[in-house]
Amino acid sequence: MTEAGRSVLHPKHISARRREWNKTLLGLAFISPWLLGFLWLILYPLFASLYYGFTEYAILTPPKWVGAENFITMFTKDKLFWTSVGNTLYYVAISVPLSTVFSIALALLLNAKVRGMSIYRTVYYFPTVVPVIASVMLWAWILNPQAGPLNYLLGLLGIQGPGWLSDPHWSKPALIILGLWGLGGATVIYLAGLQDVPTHLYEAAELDGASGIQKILFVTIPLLTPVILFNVIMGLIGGFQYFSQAFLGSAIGAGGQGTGIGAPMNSLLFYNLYLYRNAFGYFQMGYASAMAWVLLVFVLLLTLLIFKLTGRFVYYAR
Amino acid sequence: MRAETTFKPDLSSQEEIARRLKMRARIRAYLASFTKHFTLIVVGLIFVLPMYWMVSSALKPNAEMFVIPPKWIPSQLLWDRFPKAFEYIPFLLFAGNTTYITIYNVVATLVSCTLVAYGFGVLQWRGRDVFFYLLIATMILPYQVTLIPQYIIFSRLHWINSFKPLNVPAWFGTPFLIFLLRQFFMTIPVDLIDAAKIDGASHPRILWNIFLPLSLPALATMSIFTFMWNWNDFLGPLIYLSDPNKMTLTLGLYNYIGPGWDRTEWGMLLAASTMIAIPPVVLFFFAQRYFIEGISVTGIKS
Amino acid sequence: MSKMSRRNFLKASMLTGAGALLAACGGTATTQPAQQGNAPAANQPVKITLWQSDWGKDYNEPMVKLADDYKQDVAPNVTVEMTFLPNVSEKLISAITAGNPPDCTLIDEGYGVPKMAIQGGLVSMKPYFEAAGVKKEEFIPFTWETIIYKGEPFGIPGGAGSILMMINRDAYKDAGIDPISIPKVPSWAQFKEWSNKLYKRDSSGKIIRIGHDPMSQWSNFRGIFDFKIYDANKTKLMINSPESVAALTEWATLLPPDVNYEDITSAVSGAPQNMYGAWMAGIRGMEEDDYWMFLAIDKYAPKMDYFVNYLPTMNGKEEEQKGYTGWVWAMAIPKGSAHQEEAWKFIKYGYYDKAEMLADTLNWPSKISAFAEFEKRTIAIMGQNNRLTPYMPLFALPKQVGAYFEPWTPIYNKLGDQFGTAFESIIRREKTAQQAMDEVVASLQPELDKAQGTF
Repeated sequence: MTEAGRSVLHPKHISARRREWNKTLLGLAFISPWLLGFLWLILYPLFASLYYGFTEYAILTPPKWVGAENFITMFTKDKLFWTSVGNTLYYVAISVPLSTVFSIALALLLNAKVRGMSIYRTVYYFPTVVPVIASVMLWAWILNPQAGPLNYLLGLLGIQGPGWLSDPHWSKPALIILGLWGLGGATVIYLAGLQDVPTHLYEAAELDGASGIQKILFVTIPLLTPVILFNVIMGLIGGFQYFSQAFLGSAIGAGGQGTGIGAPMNSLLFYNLYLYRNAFGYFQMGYASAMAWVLLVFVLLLTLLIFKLTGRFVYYAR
Repeated sequence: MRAETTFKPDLSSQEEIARRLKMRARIRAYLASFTKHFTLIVVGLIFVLPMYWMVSSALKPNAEMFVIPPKWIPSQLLWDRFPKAFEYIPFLLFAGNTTYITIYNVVATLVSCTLVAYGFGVLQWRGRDVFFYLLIATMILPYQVTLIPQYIIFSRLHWINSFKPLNVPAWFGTPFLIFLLRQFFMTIPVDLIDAAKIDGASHPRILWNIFLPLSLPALATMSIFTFMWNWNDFLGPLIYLSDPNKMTLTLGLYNYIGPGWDRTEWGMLLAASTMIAIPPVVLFFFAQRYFIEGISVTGIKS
Repeated sequence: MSKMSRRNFLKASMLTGAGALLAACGGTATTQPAQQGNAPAANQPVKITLWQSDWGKDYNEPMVKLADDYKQDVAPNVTVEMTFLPNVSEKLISAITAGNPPDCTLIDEGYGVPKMAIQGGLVSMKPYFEAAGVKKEEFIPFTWETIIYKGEPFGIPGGAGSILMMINRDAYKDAGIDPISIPKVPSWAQFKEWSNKLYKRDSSGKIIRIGHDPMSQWSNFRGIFDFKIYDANKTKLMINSPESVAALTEWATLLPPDVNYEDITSAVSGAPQNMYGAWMAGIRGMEEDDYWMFLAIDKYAPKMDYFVNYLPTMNGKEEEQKGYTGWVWAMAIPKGSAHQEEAWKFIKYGYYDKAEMLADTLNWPSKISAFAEFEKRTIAIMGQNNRLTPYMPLFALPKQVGAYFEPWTPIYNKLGDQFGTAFESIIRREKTAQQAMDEVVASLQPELDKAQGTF
């Protein structure tokens, strides 16, 4: 007998409430893989790290409650904390706008109906699939102050190339350049967004006598704003979680000089790197957890702020 | 342009004008196309040049590595660097580990994400949206905030220095991919579902017989994403793997850099890097459609 | 139609998620050896695991040979399984926490032993030392502190190193220094003078040769200044005291006034990147290392005309040579080691009884009485006619008399990192020595205060 058959024969036995509940159970059943993982690996750790943030915890010994001491030290006494915040903000503040502008420009370029488009798309996108170790090693090589091609090309233009990864003032720009090589990811999203822009709007603009650039500024960009918002948020989140490139960049580029993680001179000590150093270098899991929560609060506030602010600027074709 | 009142068709001058306009338009179009192609090629070269540099440096003899001006075209191609890299670092071992982890993740992710996406995208039930927003929220969560307790959980289970911390979580699904698949599921017409229900099919049946066959493109996209993430993963292996026999390619290569005896054999390291980069790049080349569409879909619909 | 009813499926899919946990937990049956330190009955086959730093094939293979020798000569029932890891110290704590540490391990990180011991990660060697008659005086003076925690040994010093000057005769001549005039024990002033003379620019003004790179080897030179880090009771940081600041300021003058550190990195970055590549190419005028330099020099610059000299002392006097220092790695037994007794026996054999066998892996033993035998073995390896052979007694001296060391406290690692950054800022002329040291002290003195009583 099928379920449907049963319910036809005995309608009164399954009340509406019961049916709702059954549906909920079924829904929960289907999402149970995610839900269980969420409870075990996300929710519990979330609160556990909050707890650890108030302790001193070096793995082999049990956590020792120290109250708000970690947070106080972090904000008032720990200079490296502020260094890492500064480094991260520097990177985010420069790379997010730069990559937004460039990837939109690139997407506009790629939107043309040109032959061989898929080849171009591949070429622009594939740097993002190269493993980070390979790309950092490659760029450390390219940015070699003495023998690397970039400084050589700069030299041809009469510019004395800086020390890039070995120079504390230029190590972050070096990573920003590396990041720009990976523009393809955002470009592709913008491309798709561009193709969603209704052509009749362009025609209307043309009738009004709009030039090419005006079309871009007043039709394309406003309609792209939801995509821009999405990419900016993703870029910010990615920026605040920046780790591998900085870790590898300071290891490869500083080439044994300086002070290890974050070299040279802590110029590459990003927030995440400092967290890692505290957790796995000094075995101060409590302090590292406190740092993680500070970051979480910051990201939440920032996201809320962005949504509030951009309500006015973002256009939704709903 | 032409005054509409004059109606004497002066054919010769009209044709002249028309021809000249057409030619101007054609030239303009040609120029536009040329500029577009030119810019595309130039920018494209800028993007490709680093890879060329990596491969050519990997093949360069040591003496030509650090010369000024840089040697763009090596005088010899040391193809044997590639097989030698297999000795220099235990490449096959690392590759085997990486492959195992990657394939495991792909399979587990497909299974779990399919179930969960069905629950979020097809079933209607009370509380569904609450949990869905929760799923979205977890995507914004910085991973640092769960990293340390996860590490401690895994260490209490004695899973450190095994593949388990990298594999097991795949059974719980990946929020981004769940989202992707859910969006896809929602595009499947409801009539299909209703028709199946009238036939008396249960949900697992529906999922298996109807949704899965229709979702092959999305599933392909998910597999490719999972492959890329796992193949390229660095932080996970860095934290959880210490035994050199268990290391992955990215971690293994990192451990072979650094000052020390012959440790900075750039030629070898670059050759190894190139080889590590080959599988994802090749996969991307063949599957780029899925890749790019997958990203676009989520980007827009979000 | 469907055999699976809704309820059954409910159960089934709940299990997908939970099942992952169960299925994976099944693997926790990874065996924990039941014995914890109790020696099995004699002649029972035993396998002990040992973690070594991965120094490359050339060094790993002789280490394995050590294990084979042990099996043949001493304990036929014991197999030592060596694993070579690139970053032993990083992984050791994880392994101890996870409950599957190696039976014994090499600790390559500076002061790694007290760092682990304070967390209870290592087994005290005091009973073993007492039973075997192992004493502090038997070891190189600057190595003992590195294995002590709360007065007890938690490891045994293994291979030590100290540096001597490597002098490229041609480069010095080119700089106007007559190599013959170089005294065996130079003074600091002479050393600085040579460093300054060695700087050379090309026609466009770019630096093509440097003297002594001020960023390198401070930790091995600081004994010459008798650089004070803590006070006598290890309660106060003294790096910002007038004497320490004066020492740092003096050291920083190694960078000539018309040279920036960026010029140095730029000059050096183009050099062949093998060991001492920059020195062999004549870009680094001054280089220092221990005797194993002969390997690289024989390989990459077999025709170079070089010789070896003592590091300077403040006034060029021999009695000041106790200011020399060096580094050492140690062997230790992690907490949770399954075969403590057997591990100790192997360690004692390879790194104490037969310490001279470290010659095979180009490590200098810490046990002074093994030096003579060690030198014989090493010369056999290097070759009687090797350019370096006559200098072996020079290499031995800093290890016999060098007594300067950095005392250990729980802030050692943080101090190392912060001092390193501060040091770099001094060399890069971004801060004065006083400023930089004051900042470090302000940052770390509170931590040191907190740590009092724990070490």
